[in-house]
Amino acid sequence: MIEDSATLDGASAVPLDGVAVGVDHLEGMVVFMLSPEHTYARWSKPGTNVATSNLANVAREAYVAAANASARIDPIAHEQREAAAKPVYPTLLIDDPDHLVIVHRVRSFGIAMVFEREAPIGLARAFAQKIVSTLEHELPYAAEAKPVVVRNAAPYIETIAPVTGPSVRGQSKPPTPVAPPPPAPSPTKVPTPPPPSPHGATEARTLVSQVSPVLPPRPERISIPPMPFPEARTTEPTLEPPPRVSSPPAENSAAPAVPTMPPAVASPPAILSAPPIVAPPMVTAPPIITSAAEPANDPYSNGPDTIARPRMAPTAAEIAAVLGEEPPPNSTSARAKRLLALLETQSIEPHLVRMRLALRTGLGLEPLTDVRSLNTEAVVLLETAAEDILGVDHDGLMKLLERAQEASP
Amino acid sequence: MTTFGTLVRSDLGLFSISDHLVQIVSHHELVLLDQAVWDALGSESWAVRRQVAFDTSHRMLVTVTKNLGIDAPAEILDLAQELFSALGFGHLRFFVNATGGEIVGEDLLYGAGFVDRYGSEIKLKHRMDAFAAGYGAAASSLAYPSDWGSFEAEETSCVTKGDEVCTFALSRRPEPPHSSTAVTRMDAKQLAGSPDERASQADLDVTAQAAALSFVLGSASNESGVLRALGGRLALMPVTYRSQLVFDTLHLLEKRSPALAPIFATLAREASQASAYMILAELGSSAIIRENLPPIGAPEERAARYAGLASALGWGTFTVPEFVPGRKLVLAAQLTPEAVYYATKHGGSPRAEMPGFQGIAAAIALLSSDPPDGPVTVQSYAAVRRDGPAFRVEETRSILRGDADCEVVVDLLGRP
Repeated sequence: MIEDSATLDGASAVPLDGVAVGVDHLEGMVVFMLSPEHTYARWSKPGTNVATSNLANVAREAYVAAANASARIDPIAHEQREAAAKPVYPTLLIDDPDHLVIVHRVRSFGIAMVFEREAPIGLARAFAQKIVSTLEHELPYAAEAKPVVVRNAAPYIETIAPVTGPSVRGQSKPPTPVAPPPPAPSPTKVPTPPPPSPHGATEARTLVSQVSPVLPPRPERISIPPMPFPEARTTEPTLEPPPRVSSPPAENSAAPAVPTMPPAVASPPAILSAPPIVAPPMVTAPPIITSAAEPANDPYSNGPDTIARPRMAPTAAEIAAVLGEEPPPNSTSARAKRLLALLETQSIEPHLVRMRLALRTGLGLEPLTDVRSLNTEAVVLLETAAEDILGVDHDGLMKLLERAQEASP
Repeated sequence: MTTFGTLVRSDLGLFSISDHLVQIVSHHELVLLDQAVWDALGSESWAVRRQVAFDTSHRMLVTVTKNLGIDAPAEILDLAQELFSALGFGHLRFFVNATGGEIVGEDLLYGAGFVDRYGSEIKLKHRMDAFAAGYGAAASSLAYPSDWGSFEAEETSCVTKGDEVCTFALSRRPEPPHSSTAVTRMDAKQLAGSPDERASQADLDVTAQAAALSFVLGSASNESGVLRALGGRLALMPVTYRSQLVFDTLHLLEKRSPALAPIFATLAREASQASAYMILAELGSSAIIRENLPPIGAPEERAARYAGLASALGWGTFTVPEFVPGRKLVLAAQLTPEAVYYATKHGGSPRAEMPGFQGIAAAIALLSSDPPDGPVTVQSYAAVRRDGPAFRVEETRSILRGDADCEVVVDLLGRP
């Protein structure tokens, strides 16, 4: 178990301060990797007691358990969701007496958001959805990495424990052979392997790094020499802030190495052949990545942790609304519109349909009057309610929608 | 064959059985109300409905068995079975002993009513017959009382899920806290006050009321416990069950999600409105009314006629102080079942509203302004709601707010 793990790649972590600006009742937020167990970025509201340092582990375990349970509730529907062009993942809501914790999954990342208990659940969910929509654009894609398999946390820890000599649990077992990493895309960009760290925490991080799946590089960016100790982008006070080293110019790729690699795995040829981002989180000091076109302007290179709030990307429906056009057929609002039309056609009480949906989903009547305000989560709620009202399963509803679309001029 | 007339006593426009208030309901109202509660409370609604049904039925059965001097388990179960059928709820068969057992229900008002209304194509995902479950558990608990608790019934199969019959498995549970509220005829009398204090009922169409009353009280369910009349399945529902379901759900929503409470209130009103519209339309065009009452002349007479017919169903005694065809209808009542329930359980309240009364007023306003040509069906009613006039309902006077009577104003706003 890694305690208080730092950001995988301080330079690439998203600045959560900007995302959290203006979100009422939000107390803390953590972006973590589902596998391996790792904190990617975190933020907590100053003056709150939310331990974001530990939140990633807790949220990850809870989410993995909940996702497994969700998959077993309706395995067929789960498979279909997973196989969809854009997979739909379950969301975990922890209704704690003191907090509301909402955990979303975005690709191979988990995002845990902690709200004050006074926050209305609907409002918290709406904010969470908004934050997730923003981070979806910020978090890296898994380019060639294997898809993340959500699996039970405990066995996973057991699996990684014996991998590397002295483990965090004090076990001493021979290291498990690690698959050789793929060749580096550009030899000139390979970071110099750092020397071993004397700290136990670093060794613990090494354990994770050895079994970590290939981390996703940003395809359009190239790497430059690494930072020594990447840290989480957090506003929490740190007891021992790690030293920050200014990033050298991109051309100076042969900059002095920073010692972080433990001797057990410090096999120079293997490390040298490793691609920059494939390097394990935290331990091998992943390189600062920046745009090849604008190396000097990258705000992540060595600037402040807090930068301007990322722009919320407008949805297709929002753009259509601004332009006064019909929403595109695949948009969320178009789905909602088709659903309402189907229900009003199929139901023998069409005048009650919207009221029943409003009551059943808890959305109220207003969002159903202007479907452009509905997000994906709301449409999923509407679909579930529609299935209940029509007495069909999800496949049945989809077939009815298809038939209705074919019948419409 | 037990007619409704041999079961109920009519007083102040309200019906009672062994002093417990009951009212005529159709399966349309019950199914719609059940859906609204389900929409509002989700899976929690099953427990709420079943518990209310248990409490209501238990109190009524205790009174009836005491009045008849019945105390043997088999006799209690026989009586419960007979009463259930006579009230129009369908047919129950008890296979029960002191340790538990099973109840089989056929032609149940809720389950079979749902299939009647929506057809067998729609398969419900939730359990439907909470009333039968609560009633069966109450009867069994009364027949086999125990210090270990009372029976609780789980619906294990249901016609709304495609099964042939509805079955309920009984198991004993620790005694849950029961509501002590029982709405009786005496509560109604106390709320109405002395005859001198009561509001004038001079405008009541007594001939329509009398003709309709003779029809209703002469009606009886068949051997299967089914009474098909006036466009649906009719039954005598304990006032406590219906009202407690409406107001408990409303209060829960007001506490949890205040924005959703008006939506539920509208759906509850719509349930009464749809049922009242169909019952009154069918009653108005029935042979007994056509043969015993003169044809309607002015539109104002039509409104008074429908109000008179509504006064024969245990819903209260209604008059129409004002009616402007196509524009406005004012419906007044001394008492309504909801008013008696609310006053008994919660006391007076300046905010109290009665969705059932509002629904009856809206139905009479729609019928009086645009009477249907032929038989009313679910589809034709939906067409009225789609193409007919929009309206606004306002409760202007209420006995729960300290007024002498209750009054609802329906403003018809024209066609959409």
